[in-house]
Amino acid sequence: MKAYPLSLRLAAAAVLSLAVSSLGLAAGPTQHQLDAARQNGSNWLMYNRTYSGDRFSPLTQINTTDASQLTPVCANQLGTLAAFQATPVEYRGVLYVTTQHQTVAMNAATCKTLWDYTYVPTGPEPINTNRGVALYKGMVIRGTDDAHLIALNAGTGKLIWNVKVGNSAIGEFLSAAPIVWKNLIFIGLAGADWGIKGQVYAYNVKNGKRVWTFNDIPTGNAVGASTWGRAASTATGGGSTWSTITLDRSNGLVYVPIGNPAPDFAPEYRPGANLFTDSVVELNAKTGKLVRWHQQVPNDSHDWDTAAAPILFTTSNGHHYMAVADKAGYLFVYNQATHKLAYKVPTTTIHNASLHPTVKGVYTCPADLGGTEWSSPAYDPQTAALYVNSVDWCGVDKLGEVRYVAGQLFFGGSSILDPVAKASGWLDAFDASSGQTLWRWHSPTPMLAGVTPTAGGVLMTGDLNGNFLVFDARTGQKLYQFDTGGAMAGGVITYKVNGRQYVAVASGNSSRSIWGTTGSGTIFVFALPY
Amino acid sequence: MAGLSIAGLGVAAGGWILALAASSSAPAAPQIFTKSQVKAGQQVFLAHCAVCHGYQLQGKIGPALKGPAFADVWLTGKQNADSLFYVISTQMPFNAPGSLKTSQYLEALSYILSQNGLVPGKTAMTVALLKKTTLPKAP
Ligand code: HEC
Repeated sequence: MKAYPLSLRLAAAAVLSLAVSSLGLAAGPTQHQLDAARQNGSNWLMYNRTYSGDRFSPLTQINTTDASQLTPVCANQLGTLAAFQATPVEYRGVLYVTTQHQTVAMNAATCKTLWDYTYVPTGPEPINTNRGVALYKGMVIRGTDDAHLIALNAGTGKLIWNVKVGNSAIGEFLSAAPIVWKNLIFIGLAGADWGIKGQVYAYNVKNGKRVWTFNDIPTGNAVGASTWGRAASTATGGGSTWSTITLDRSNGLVYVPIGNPAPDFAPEYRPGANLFTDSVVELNAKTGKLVRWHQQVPNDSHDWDTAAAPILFTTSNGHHYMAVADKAGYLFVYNQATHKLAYKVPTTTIHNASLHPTVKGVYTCPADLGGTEWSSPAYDPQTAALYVNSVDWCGVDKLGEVRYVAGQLFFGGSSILDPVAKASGWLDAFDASSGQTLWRWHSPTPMLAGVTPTAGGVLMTGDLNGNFLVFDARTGQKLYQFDTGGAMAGGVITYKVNGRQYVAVASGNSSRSIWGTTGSGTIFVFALPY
Repeated sequence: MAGLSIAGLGVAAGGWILALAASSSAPAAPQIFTKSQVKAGQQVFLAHCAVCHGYQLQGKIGPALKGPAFADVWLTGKQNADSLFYVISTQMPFNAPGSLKTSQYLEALSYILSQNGLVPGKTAMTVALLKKTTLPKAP
């Protein structure tokens, strides 16, 4: 681990000298402001808006009667032709957004770039994705694809510290958006598909020192180790945190989504349930100690990660729930009082789900790019509904030779997807208490973007044809559509600057995998005409 | 092969470890493909790989397959040629893994290696030959 005392001191000086500036700066958001994120409609302070991650915004200016008049007010082309799946965050009139190497601050009402920091990796980068930043007391914190964690000065974009978290030469990287609570940064490694052993971490926000480590793949006497029938397979057991982490301030627990086991398609190599893969683990935020877990798929053989972060919500009759949607194509809702599964409902086509891949191949729905990918469900207290985006895409999953080559994909087989033209998507509205379908919209493309309900009664998202979409949250009627010209697979956020409500969306996901999508990474901002 | 046996998998993993250990004293760069394989491989590459790896192998949505980035991974003097063939033949093309013929994969690999400075010779690349070949250090 490297420390950068000199730049740390310079950065501290910079924070002080910039404290009085018109935009964005410099000491916030404070812990107090982050704690109050739910009530604060003006800002979008973290990946899923609040620690509990329900994504609901209290803003009402854009509503069911005027949404059809929305218009783009500005755009900022980031200059990348690559995966663009990030969710911007907004604080006091400044948007912060990431690409693989860039971290960009821009004026949230005009899209004008304020600063643009380019990270120069020092190791190989297994993928080219980054999902976003955490904001904390004048700092912008993000992970990198060569497995470093870095902190920048929010006012200037200058590097404050840079620490190496993992070894990207064996497939470890950080693509998730961290969160920060009480001076601790929470983030997890990704890279299961390269045969890593995933970990979740807390880092000290002040100096980038590691505070605790949780092992996704338990060994020895650790709880869960007995779910690996062949102990040797834990060395490459997998587990990834792809999106972000959720936190319950009332009990001080972090809720961490953990992805698939490896090798992806060869479950016989790792007999047993393979905890804590395809699970949500609940850890004490201060210590990293395991409190509880819920596994969605035991002994997964289809790359069915629990990738999107879980969300925590309370219904009007006072019941607390945790909801998580996974790549197996289900929404799971757990009762937070009993910790029992309240219900489980499919979000997409399910076929041959109980069969493991064979050498000849098994046609399976969803295949490895189906179900809910990295964007979490949203909970709307006004409609008492959960909204979930998903991908309907089948393919032939095959068992193959299991061979570990360090730094290469460790699949133990393959997935031959149907032609992309056959892939589609769903936006589902479920009654949050019962799981009954309220309405569903069949999209011509997979649905990967964030889904954002507001107190204005609208539900905002986007598709891979590049359409920014606004629905009536109650009925599912489409109110507005705008073609951004680039696939939408990242954030859809809303905030207010000088009394005007804006929506910022990520457009232009030309993905390295096979979504078959194009566009250049661009932030579009929408508002109502004056 | 119906149902991979654990024992079989163990051998595969062990074999990889042995291959690494055995390869530490690499001989002079071997000639492991022919000119005609390179020629055919160029066609395979342009048709099935270039869209992602770039027409100059410079990398696009897939990594560069020539130059320092490629050499750092594969041309270290320690990598088994068979491992590279395994990656190509079981995982590529990324959107249709395993869809080409074995001969086409051998040709594509010949082309990639030739683009990284390895020279063709009289011996044609075969799966069996790759199994006992260690890739040389980048020339
Ligand atoms: C649809 C896009 C696509 C196509 C077509 C494709 N590849 Fe790839 N290739 C990739 C991606 C993406 C990776 C990186 C995989 C990973 O994340 O490890 C890759 C990785 C590789 C690697 C490993 C490189 C390294 O240094 O780690 C090799 C070798 C390779 N491809 C060869 C080929 C060959 C040969 C073909 C044609 C037969 C081909 N690829 C076709 C996308 C593609």
